[in-house]
Amino acid sequence: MNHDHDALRLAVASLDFELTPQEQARMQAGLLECEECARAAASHNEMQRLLGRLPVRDASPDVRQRVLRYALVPPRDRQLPVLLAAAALLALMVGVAAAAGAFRERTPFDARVTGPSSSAPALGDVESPEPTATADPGSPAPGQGPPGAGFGGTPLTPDTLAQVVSGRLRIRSEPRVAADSIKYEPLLDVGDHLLILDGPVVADDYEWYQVTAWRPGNLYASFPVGWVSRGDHDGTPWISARADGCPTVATTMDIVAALHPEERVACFGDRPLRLRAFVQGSAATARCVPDPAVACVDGPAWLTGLGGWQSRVDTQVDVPSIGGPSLTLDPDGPVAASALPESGMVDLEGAFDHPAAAGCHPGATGPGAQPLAEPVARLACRMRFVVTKVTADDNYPVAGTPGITVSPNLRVRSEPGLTSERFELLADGTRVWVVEGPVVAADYEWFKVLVPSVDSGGGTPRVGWVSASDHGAERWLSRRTIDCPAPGSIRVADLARLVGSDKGDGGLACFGRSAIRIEGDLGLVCNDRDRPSWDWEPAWLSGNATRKLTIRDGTAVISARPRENLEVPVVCGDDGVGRFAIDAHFDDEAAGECEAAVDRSSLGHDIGIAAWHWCRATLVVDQVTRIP
Amino acid sequence: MSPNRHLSVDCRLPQSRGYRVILSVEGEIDPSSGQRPTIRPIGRTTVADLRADFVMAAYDEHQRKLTSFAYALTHDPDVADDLVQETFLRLVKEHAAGRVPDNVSAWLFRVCANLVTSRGRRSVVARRYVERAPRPDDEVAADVEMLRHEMGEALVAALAILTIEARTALVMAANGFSGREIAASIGRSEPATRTLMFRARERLRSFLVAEGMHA
Repeated sequence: MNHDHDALRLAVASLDFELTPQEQARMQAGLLECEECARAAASHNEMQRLLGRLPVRDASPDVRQRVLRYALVPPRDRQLPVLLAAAALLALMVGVAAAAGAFRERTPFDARVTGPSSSAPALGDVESPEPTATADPGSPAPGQGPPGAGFGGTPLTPDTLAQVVSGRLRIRSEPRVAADSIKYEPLLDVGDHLLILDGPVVADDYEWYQVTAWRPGNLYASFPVGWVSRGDHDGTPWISARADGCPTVATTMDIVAALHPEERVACFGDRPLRLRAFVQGSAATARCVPDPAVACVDGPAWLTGLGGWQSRVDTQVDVPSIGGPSLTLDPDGPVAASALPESGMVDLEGAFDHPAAAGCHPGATGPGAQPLAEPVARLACRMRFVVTKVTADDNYPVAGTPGITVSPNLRVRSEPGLTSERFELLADGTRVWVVEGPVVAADYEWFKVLVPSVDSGGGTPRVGWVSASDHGAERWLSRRTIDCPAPGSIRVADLARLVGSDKGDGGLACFGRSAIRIEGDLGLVCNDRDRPSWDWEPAWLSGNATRKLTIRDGTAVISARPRENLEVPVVCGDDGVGRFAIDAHFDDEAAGECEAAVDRSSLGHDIGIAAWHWCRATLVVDQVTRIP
Repeated sequence: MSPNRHLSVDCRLPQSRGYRVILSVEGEIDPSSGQRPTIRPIGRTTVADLRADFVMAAYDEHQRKLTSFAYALTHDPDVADDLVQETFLRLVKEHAAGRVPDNVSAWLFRVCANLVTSRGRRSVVARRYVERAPRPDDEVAADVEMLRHEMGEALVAALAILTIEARTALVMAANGFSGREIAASIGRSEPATRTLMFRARERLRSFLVAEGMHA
């Protein structure tokens, strides 16, 4: 398809660049000589026209509001040099005055200006909180008016979201400017997000709020919980309410996962939610040990996550995210822990902000740790999603289990997504083995599958990626249900049905690596290469093993590999010699070492997966005992 | 200079900090005669108001083109919104720092393109275990379905086969930027950009032909 002549290069370049006269001449001469170049050049011209039909979109109205709001707030960085100069001047004046003995009896004002914790809530250490004679006309006099009057009206309320709209905003340990109010670091910057925990408290003519803060896009930034002022005396806001913090569309797990945990509490409260999610990792959790730098939360263990049980939503979104919410179950609630699968897709009902979170309090604190504030300890419990109902999606494909296509013409691709190499179309009802997944790409959920019925070359089954469903609507790939015999009464005929002619994975799916026992007549086939042309290791387990046992019972027959170095009571060519009890298993440990001993460049890298899978699906005989 | 031309002048007097005074200038400066125009204050506005006027005028003029550009590069309306917002927030900062771009349109596209590139570098490509509600405006046809999208959407999806740099270059070209401007924007020399764009155009054309979207 690509045609790489100089004339074509010049013709394509002329779409974007001005050609020199010499280049123009070369291009025209070249296009006259090379018909294919001319056709390709015309095609590029047409494509350029096509690109003019890219969709036209407007930004959402919210974007305009945010830009306007940001434009109206004076960035504080620019005032810094002026303020630093003012601070230096002030320091000089104070120094001169002190030398003259003017401050022998210090006033509260002096103490706040010169003391160790005298800085304003904002701008770190450079701006005085005191009103000055040059205050902007029209701004309210300090101390006058109701709380919040100078900061944009209605006070912010606890559990609401806010954001920093002025840089270098200081968090303090107490809601006041005083020596006992510790100045925390780091400072907050424009765009940092806040959850209001408490407040307002009016002190020193500032309106203070207790907040927990985080920085969108930087999950590693951490801030202490403390108090910030809503704004300056002249009405300049330092923090403002976030009107856009909560999702307005239908709540799905990816939307919840993309929110910060504090936002989940603020946005949903204890409202019941129904979420579809892939859960895994159900496990008991460890109790909290107040090591250095660790602060514990006391409260119901199932809600603190410390010494209780939890599962988690496995999610990975393409924006910085702290991950999906951790799930918990109220032991006195309607759902047993066993209702949540170890790994699978489920429909969840439940809520954040469980009432029992009121029982969560700061616990023991390690010697190097900051003691938790009461609201923070409570918040840790409020952020957990308490599950009240679970409905498992039994048909959702699971990695390491059999699958089946439930839609015609399902395309196999080399990678997840719509732009990778396209392989075969699978018919409805095609049996596959799900190797891994799901992975979301191009907004579809993809599973890597091995398709035994499709030969990708050299006898190697196709390995590739298929999409599981139409965005969760129409199902295209499903879990394959297998009718497994009871472990205590397995017959050769059962295994023949599951394994077929030695290529099926039903035995692996039913029994894993559990030991099984069958009875049958034994035979031995030697040096029969029924596997593909390539060799693989370890030889005793491979399709080209030199020793293959046949186990027969009536008309049913299956093939198995004797464990390496196992002495068998049959010789090459025997068939149906005596009756034996045979102890065996699938998924032998050595399968992990199965490798194709070939040049992979000729047969593809997925040949290794095929070899591994075949070894796992092979029945390995551990012991044979003659039945008298 | 025409009479009654209004100028916006920074007033550095301490009592006017944070404000600008609007001056009326009448007459012309004539160095030979030493005559000076009559200057008188006619109004006062805050710096923030002036900044907002400038930025919002730019926003109203360019947001559609910029949003379309960002969407073509990311194929995600929410991300496109974020990029446009971040681009204009940077314009606010530029203005506040006293640096007003000569060519606002080119500046906006360049910043937006840089944001897309840096975002593309750090973003995680695959998202796992995510339940997505069907979204009518961003569905991409899978192979089990007929191509059911308008050509524009299909083009956006096709652009995804290109590297973010190549995609940016082609979409900028589709927005009327010259090769020289594109080269400056993506930080490459003109010859390197020519090569990049030739390969990108060839790759995209092959893909569109293979997908039956282009002859």
